[in-house]
Amino acid sequence: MSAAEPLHAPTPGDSRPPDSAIRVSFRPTAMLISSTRRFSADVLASVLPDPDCTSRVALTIHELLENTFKYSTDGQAELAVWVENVDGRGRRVQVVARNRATREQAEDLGRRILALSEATNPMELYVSMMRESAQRSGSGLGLARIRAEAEMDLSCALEGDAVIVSASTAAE
Amino acid sequence: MTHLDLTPLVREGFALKPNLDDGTIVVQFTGNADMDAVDPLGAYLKLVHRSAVDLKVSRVSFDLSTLYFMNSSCFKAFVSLIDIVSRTDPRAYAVCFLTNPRIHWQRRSLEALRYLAPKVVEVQPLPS
Repeated sequence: MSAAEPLHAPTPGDSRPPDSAIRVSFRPTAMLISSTRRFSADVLASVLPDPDCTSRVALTIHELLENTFKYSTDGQAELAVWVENVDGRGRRVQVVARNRATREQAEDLGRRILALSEATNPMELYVSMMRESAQRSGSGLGLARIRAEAEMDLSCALEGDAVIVSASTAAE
Repeated sequence: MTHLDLTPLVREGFALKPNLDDGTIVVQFTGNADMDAVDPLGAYLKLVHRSAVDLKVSRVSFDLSTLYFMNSSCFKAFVSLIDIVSRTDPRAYAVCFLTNPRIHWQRRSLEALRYLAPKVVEVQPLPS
């Protein structure tokens, strides 16, 4: 497996910088994940007029970071959050989390994200996952929560031994 | 059994305070239910269920008006409780969530729980 390259996310030096961007690279802990969620929510609240959108994105940040905490093979995680203008289509909020993972974990993650992305009714799939989760230990609901509750678009990519999960939504 | 045999739970950044009020168990949540709260919350909800059955209450209310965040693992603890209650026939008791409309994730998360078990779960927004 090759070493993961640094996460690419817009920076202030880009030719078309985003409205606002946050980028962190850290060894996540329970306390740091919550702190990052709160900090990100505070920043987003200052640039997004809709508090519900900020709340959805904050939930997404938290759940993605908890996944990096659980599955990162080297304990490291990277997170990027930014708001960008999309030509003629308004603004979008992008959240990208990256961590190293085993091949099996990465492929399992890819399958779960594909199923959530292709579901015609994400809430129905979410409820069926809730019923299934009630019968076993562990949650396994974080990504479904992002898709069904936070109504984010989800995608996943592999880059060497790194798994990159992206979530995005339209914003006012 | 006529009195509530539950004690408050206090952790750093997260607390639960139970009360028996006119035949309803009310559990007040405070703080953030994140990774450190998962195990204590799961164990506590099992005690709440046992108390509700022993006391034969018709309703258990979870007051989330000062709960600022709940992660998916804590959310799952409620899924497990609701699953147990909804499998009981007739329904053991109603599970009612008292919510804060200014804390936006609550509406979405609790609507999902209501969708899971509409005959068991009630959601009541408190005046903001």
